[in-house]
Amino acid sequence: MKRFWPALLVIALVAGRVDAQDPRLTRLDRRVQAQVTILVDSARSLGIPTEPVVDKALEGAAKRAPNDRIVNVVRSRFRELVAARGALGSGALDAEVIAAADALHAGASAQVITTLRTQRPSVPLTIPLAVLADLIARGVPADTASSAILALATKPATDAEFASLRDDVERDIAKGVPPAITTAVRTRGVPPGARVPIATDATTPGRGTTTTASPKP
Amino acid sequence: MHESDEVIEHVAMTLRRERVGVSADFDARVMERVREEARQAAGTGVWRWMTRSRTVRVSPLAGLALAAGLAGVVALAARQGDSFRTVAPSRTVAIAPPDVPAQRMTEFMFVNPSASRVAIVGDFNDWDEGVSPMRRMSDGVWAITIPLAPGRYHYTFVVDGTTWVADPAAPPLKDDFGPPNSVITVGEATT
Repeated sequence: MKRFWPALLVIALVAGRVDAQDPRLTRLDRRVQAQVTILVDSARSLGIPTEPVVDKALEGAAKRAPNDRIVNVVRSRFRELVAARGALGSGALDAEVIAAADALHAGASAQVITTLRTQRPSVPLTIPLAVLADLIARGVPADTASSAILALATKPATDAEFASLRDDVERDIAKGVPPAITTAVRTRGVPPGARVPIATDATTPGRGTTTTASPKP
Repeated sequence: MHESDEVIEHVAMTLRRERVGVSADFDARVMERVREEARQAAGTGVWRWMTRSRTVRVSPLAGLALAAGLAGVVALAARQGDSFRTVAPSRTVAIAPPDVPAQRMTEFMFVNPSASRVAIVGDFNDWDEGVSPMRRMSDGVWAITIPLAPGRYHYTFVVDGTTWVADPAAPPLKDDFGPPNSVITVGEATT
């Protein structure tokens, strides 16, 4: 009987391991599935939401992306979630962590997220962080968008006001107003015609820095 | 020499002089008596029964059957765990515990008169186009209402099962896998 115990243990562990995998991951290539499962297990052990990891893998599979690409993107997503959790601190809501990861992915800094948490320790940050990610994704330089969000948080603004800023900026951009200008105007109330910050690094939309333009002679 | 020593010596001499015959099962009877006395000295009961060691013989076939049964139990336990773990709160339509955010009914609309079918895929339905087919309205408008918990979701439309189209009503979001996504942020319900 003693000879069988190691075999029993192996069979039990293998069976438990296989069944513990998320059944949705069977849509992935086996190699990708194994890699993603490791990341999901790691996320679970770290206390960060696992759904974004699974979602990103499923999105890649649905879009028929190459296996290596899926693994790389999911790894990147995992790292962003870990960094987001670290920036927000323990006790953050899953939705906050996801929104913070989106903001990091867009180009925001972890420092901004931590500052935002410090400013609003007991208020959900999902909407402010989502608006931050949205603004950067629309082409607003990261530091301009960050300053706008931190300024509103200091006010302190409601979620509706954060969402209103995003809607206003999107509307202005659709009219042809540069993203950095509309964000600065909408946040600080800079009067039209005044000299305002503009993006100087436009190679990557939303990831540039903002400086004050020098007046042309 | 003590008196008892003298008695023993006397017995021994007698035995040496006269051979004493014993039956063949004498040793077995003596040992059984010894065990019985040991059992009585140790007491009886359930604990005694449970802690007494036994030798169990199992054939290879019975061992495999036992292993399969154990693996089945473990697999069943893991499956029970998955049924809770893989269902995200955002997809729970039933009554939710107090700490789960309330969901908001979110309507998506898409205009494409020439499409024969349109589905929406995104973070809220595992990017599975079979989960959320959109309903055809008048004038080529396709619509669907989905309950979403507060959060930020990526999504896109799939036209006729082949073409991925970002929501024209929302700014496109550059995606890691090529076709652009749209993004929607669902806030807390206001009362």
